[in-house]
Amino acid sequence: MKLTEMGITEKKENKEQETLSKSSEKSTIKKFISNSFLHMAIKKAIFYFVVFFIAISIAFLIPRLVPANPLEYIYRPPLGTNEEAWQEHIKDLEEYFGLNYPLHVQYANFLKSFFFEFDLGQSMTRSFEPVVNIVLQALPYTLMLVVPVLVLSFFIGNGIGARTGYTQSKKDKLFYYIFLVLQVAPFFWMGYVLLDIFVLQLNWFPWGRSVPPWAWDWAAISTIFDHYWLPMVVLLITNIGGWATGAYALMVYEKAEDYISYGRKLGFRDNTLRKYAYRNSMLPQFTGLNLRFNELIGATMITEIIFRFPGLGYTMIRAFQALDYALIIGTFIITILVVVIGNYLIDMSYGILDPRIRVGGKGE
Amino acid sequence: MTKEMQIELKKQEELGKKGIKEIIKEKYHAAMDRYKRQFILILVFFIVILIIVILTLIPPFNDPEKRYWVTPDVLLDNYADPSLKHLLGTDQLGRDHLTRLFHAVRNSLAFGLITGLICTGIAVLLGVIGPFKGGAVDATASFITNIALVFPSYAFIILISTILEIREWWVTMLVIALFSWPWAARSIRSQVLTLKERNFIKVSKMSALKNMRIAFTEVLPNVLPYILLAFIIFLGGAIIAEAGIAMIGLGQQNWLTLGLLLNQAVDFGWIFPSFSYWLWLPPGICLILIVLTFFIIQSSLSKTFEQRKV
Repeated sequence: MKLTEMGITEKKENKEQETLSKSSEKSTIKKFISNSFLHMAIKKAIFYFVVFFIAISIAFLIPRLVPANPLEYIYRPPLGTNEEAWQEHIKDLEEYFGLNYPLHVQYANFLKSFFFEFDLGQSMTRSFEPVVNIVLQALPYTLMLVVPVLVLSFFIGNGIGARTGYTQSKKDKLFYYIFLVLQVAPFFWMGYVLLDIFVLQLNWFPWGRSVPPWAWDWAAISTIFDHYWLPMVVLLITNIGGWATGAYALMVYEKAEDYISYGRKLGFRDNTLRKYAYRNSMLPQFTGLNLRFNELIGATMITEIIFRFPGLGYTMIRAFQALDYALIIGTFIITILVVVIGNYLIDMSYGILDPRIRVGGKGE
Repeated sequence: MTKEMQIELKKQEELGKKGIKEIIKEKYHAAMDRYKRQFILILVFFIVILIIVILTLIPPFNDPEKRYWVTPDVLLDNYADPSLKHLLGTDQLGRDHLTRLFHAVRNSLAFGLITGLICTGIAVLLGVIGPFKGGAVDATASFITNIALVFPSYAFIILISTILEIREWWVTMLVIALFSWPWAARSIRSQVLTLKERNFIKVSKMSALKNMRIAFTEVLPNVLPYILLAFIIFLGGAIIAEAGIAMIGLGQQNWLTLGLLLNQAVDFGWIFPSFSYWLWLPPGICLILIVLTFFIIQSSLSKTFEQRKV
C-alpha cells in the first residue's frame, strides 16, 4: 500500500514540475516576477505599512501627551476683550480643529482623514492653508538633496575605497584618509564653516529666505541651484567616507581570493582584475543603503536648517518657531512616508540584484 | 602518523600545559606589537582628558560663567582677541573661552558616556534575551528592532525636541538614546544566535542551567568585545548627535556642551563681529578630535576581534 502511494505522489510531483518548467519557459517576464519575488514584495510592503502606521501613531500621540493647549499659545486675547467671550472663541476654534473630542475619536478621525482623503489638517498660522499643500511644496527640495547625494556618495565612496584597497598606493591612500577625516567631522559644523567662507567672506553664493518655489523657468531654477550647491556639497563630502571604509575592507578580503592571483598569473591587466574584484565585492554594500538613507534624511533636515533651504527640515523648524503644531506633525508624517517608500524601493532593488534575498524572504 | 600530525599534537600538548595567564600575556604582547601607535594614541587621549577634567576643578578654570572687565565696573571685555590673558579670547559676555571649552569637552564626554550606556543597555537586553527566551519574546524583540531600524532617528529627535517645551539634559539624552540603538541590537543578536549553536552552550544546557543564567554567564562574556565596540560607536555618535541638535537650537540648555558652545558662537559670534574665529573653530576641532579618536579605537578594535581568515 505504502509503496503504491509513494509512487503516485512521486508521479504527481513530476507532473507539477513539468507544468512549472513549461510555464516558466513560456515567458521571461513571468520568470522574472516569480513567486518568490512577489512574495517578498508583498511581505515587505506589509512590514513597511506597519512601520508607517506605528510612526504616525507616535506622531499623533506625542503632542497630545504634552499638557499645554496649543491654541492658547498661538492666540493671545487682544487688549480689553471680555474673558468669557474669549473662552467661547477658543472653544469654537477647538471645535473647528476637532480638538474637543476624546482621544480615541480624534485618533480615528485623524486616521480616516489621512488614509482616505490624504488630509493632514490646516496650518494654524499660515492663514489656514492645508498642511499637505505646504509640505508638498517643500518635498522636492529635500528630495533633490537626498537622492543625488545618496547615489553620488555611494559610487564615489565605493570607487575610492575599492581603488585604495586594491592598489594600496600612497596617492590613493591620501584621498582615502582625507575623506575618512571629513566623514568624522560633524556635517553641521562643516556646513557653518563653508557658509562662513563661501557666503560671508567670499560672497560667492546667495543666502537667505529668497529661494523661490519650484517653477519651470530659467530664472527660478538658476536661483534655486545657486542656493543648492553648498548644502549638497556639505552632505556629499561628509557621506563619501562612510562608504569608502566599507568598500576598503571588502576589497582587501576580495583581493586575497584565489581567482585574483590566478588571473594575475594568466597575465590579466591590473585594471581588468580590479574591475572584476569591484563587481564581486560590492554586493554587501547595498545592504548599507537603507541605514545610510535614514541617516541622510535627518542630516539633510539639519543641513537645510543651517542653509535656510526650504525643504522639509526648514519647514519643520519654521513651524516650530511659529508653534504651528499641525504643520510640524504634517511635515514629520510626510518625512516618514518618504523614508518608508525609499526603504521599500531600496529593498526591492536589492531583491532584484541578489536572487538569494528573494528566496530567503520566502523561507522566513 | 605523519610528521605534521606529530608536530600538531605537540603544539596542542604545549597549549594544554600553558596556564590561562600565559596565554593572555602572549595575546596582549601580540596586540601591543601590532597596535602600538593606537595604544599610544589612546593613552595620550585619556591623559589629555584627565588633565582637562582636573583643570576644570582648579580655580582659574573652575568657573565658566565668570565675566572679565577691562576696567573695573565700566568696560566689559567682550569679543576680545586671543591674547596671553585669554588664550582663546572671550565671548559675547566677556567670559574666557578656553575655560568654557574645557568645561564643554568634559560635559560632552559625560553626556556621551551616559547616553552610550543607555543605548548599549537597550541593545544588549533586546539582543541577548531575545534569542534565549525564544518564541514570542524573540519575535517581538526582533520585530521592535526591525521597526526601529527604519525610523529616521534625526527626524524623530527634531520632532520630539520641537514639541517638548522642556529643555532638560535628560530629555535630550533619552531622545537620542531611544532612537540610536537598533543596529547594535541586531548585530549582537546575530552573534548570540551563532554562539547558541556552539558545543559549550549545548553542554551547559544539558547540565540543566537556566536559560537566563546561560545567557548572562556563558554567552555575554563571549559577546563582550562586540558590546564594547557598540558602546564606543554609541559614545561618538551621541556626542555628535547632541552637538548637532544643540547647534540648531533644539538641544538641552543646562549642560555647557560643545554643541551649546557652537550654538552660542552661531548666535552671537558668527556674523555680528566680522570674523570671530576663536568662538567656532576650537569647539569644532575638539569635536573632530574626540570623534576621530573614538573612530580609530573602534576600527582597531574591530580589526582585532574580527580575525577573518581568507
